[in-house]
Amino acid sequence: MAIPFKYNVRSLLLRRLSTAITAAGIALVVAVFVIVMALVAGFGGTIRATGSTDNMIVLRKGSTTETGSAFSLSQFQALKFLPQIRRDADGQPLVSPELPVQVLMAKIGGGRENIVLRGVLPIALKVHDKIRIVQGRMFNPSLNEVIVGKAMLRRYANCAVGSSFRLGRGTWKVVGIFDAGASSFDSEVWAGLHKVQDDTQRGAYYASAVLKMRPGTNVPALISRLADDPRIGLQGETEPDYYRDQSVVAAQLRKLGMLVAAIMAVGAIFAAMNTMYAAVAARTQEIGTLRALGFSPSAVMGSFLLESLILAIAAGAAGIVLALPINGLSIALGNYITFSTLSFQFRVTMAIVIQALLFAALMGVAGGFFPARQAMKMSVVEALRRT
Amino acid sequence: MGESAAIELDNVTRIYKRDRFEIRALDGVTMSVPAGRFVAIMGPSGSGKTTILNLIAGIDRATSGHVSVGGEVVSRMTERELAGWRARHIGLVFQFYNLIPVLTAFENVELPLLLTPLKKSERFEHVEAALAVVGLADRMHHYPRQLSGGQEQRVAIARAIVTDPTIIVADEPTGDLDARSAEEILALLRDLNLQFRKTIVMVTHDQRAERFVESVYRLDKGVLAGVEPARPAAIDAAAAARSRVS
Repeated sequence: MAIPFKYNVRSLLLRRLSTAITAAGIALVVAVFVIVMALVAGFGGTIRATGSTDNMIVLRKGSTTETGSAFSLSQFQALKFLPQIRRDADGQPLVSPELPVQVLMAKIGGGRENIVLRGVLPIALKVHDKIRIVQGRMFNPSLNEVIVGKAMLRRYANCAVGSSFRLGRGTWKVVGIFDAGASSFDSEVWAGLHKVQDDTQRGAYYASAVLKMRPGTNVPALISRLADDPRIGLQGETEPDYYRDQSVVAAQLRKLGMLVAAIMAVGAIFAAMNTMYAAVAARTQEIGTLRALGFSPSAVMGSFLLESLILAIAAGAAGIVLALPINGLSIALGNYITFSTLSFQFRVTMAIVIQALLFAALMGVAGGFFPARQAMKMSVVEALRRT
Repeated sequence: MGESAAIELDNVTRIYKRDRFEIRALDGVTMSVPAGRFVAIMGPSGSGKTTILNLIAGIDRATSGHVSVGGEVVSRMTERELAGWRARHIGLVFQFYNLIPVLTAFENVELPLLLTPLKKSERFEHVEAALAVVGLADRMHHYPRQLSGGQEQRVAIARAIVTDPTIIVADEPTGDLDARSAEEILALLRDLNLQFRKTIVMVTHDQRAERFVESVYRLDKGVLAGVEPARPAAIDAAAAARSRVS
């Protein structure tokens, strides 16, 4: 049978100061881990939430983003009537030609940031069917009117319905606010496609087209058709695939965060190790007594490992609590893929909480292993001799 | 006397290595302790008293020779076997009590029982009984720091007897106690020997012990110098008590 659990808990409480210092170190590392992972989850989740499984985004061949894509009206006309494209009740193909451009927008409190001004036709709301106008109305495509994503309101000036702001070469009036379901569209401003073309002097070119596929569409065949049809000659990709590629920033952030957490963890492991070595040294006689009473070497090792684990998991839980207020907090981050600023919220998910506890446990085991092994290998006679 | 031996040491030598030096703690000791006896091992510091006790208790190994306890050759057991064997057969009493400071008297006494298949309720009964034997049933929820030295040693004795071991080994059990507490502890050990017929081997410097034990094994420089019967009064008292018990 194992050495009782209460022995470890009470021993930790007995050494309040050293336990608290080590726990604080581990808690801090876990808090950083949770914050970074929540940032990654929020950022990546926002980008991934942008796509619909039945939508396909069409770009110029070789382009990886809308920013680097352009195609002509004739190409668009050729793809618009493909049989794989769903139609609305009026028989209109659900295809949205789009022209996202980067423009500087004034922030609340001063300064300007790149944001996406997306030129679309009114049919865009049928193609991007997760987007809802929650305040005001849709813009009039023949006027300098815009609708803005709800995430813009927290960060940028003059975004309320009825306000006006300068963007690009013109002044635009806000006539509506839209909710894109926490996707990256929430950080965009939408205006009439032709107005944006005029403002940016792009001519009759589009950067992308988003089409809604009929149910049961053979996606690879459609992609081939888009590429191989000499009138079209474009590349298609489902929206989930496209936005997964866009979330490379999230993956890089994750790697960076993991690296920082790992470096900090090394420090915390040494702190835990130091605490446990001190515990073993201070309790040498107790170890000798337990061994003399008949507890096996592995029971002693298990007991000290458990103690380190209890310390680390309790500290990990404290770290999670420390980081929890970040959940739901809004932040904006530059996305160098689209050269624009993306607003999103930190997301502390259950998976992150579990990962954080496992991370803490790992630190506990790593920090406790060698001291516990030392306790196990201690000679009973030598241990009892130390009074 | 025809008594069976509870403990036998056959030509036991124990050599410790300290850096470049070899220290011969025991040198060819042969001795036996009959079952049910209360004996003391006495001698000057460094004479090998505690080494003999550690070998009997199975917490140390002889460099050569054999140690048999209760008919089992301890010196041939593996570390794991020894741990289990100690839990079943040996009750240990230390000079500084060696109670776990974060556990209550009850929890300290319960520790050896955690190595047995007893249920929680059975463990409770055993611990309560052991603490009653040492007169501390009313202090079971006290922590060691809340007890006097004599009381701590009584808890340690309760811990030593709670598993009903064959042999109790006590290393200087009165070494850290005042005169009155020392007498009480020696009397308690004698009572355990008489009432429960436990074989008790005690290492001590305390001359008072001679009034309580039946035999004294004298060690000098790692060699058994002789075995002396204790004072006649102690032997008479032991015999009288035995006859009362039987």
